[in-house]
Amino acid sequence: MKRLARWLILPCLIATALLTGCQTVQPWERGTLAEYMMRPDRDSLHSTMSEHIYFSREASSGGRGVGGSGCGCN
Amino acid sequence: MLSLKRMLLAGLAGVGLSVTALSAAISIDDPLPDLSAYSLQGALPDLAGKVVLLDFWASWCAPCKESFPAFTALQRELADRGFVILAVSVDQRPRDYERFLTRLAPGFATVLDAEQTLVAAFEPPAMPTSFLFGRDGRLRAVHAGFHGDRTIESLRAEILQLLSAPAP
Repeated sequence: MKRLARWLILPCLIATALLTGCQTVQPWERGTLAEYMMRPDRDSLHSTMSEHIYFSREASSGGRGVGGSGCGCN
Repeated sequence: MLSLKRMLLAGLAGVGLSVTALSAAISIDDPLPDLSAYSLQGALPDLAGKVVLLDFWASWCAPCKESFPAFTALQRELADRGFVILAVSVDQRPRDYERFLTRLAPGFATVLDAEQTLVAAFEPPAMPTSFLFGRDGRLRAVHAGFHGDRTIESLRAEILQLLSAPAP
């Protein structure tokens, strides 16, 4: 019995690692992802604020087409 | 050491079997399955001895919207010669399916695969994807995506070739 258990452990571990490591969303399963509420840019005010925070914190002056020094004050 | 090798081989064989079982897509020359065996909603047209274009679409897919008028024109042009389009929606909400059909009023048969059983058997690589079957009911071509005139011209050439073949 112990021997059988040893034989089964490794295949189970490998199968678990390979088959549950990632989940593929098939093309026909993307209905929910395609909904308007799933769009990151659905709120223009929120998008603008996020952009501002991004380029300020990252100090990426003009990083997303916005001019500035990276201080977040403009 | 030997037992470790055996264990590794057994593990690889197990994984191989699992992966094989997961990939069961239809391929060229495969027969059109019995569509009545799937839980499709809507009337199935008579497909026997006809060239069939089985198109998987969804109401949330923009290229699908673009393809419908072109497919309607293709169906009208070639219906008399034995060509049938069956468009299978993969929408999970019947309301979305019905609203889309009301808006686009397609000139070909449509059914709803809300439980996504048929689409899972075909495993289309993109939305939309069209599977073209000959008069003998065998898969002859697959078109992934819809690229406007390019797709329609390519499809028309293949359909005309299949229509010229004698009925089985």
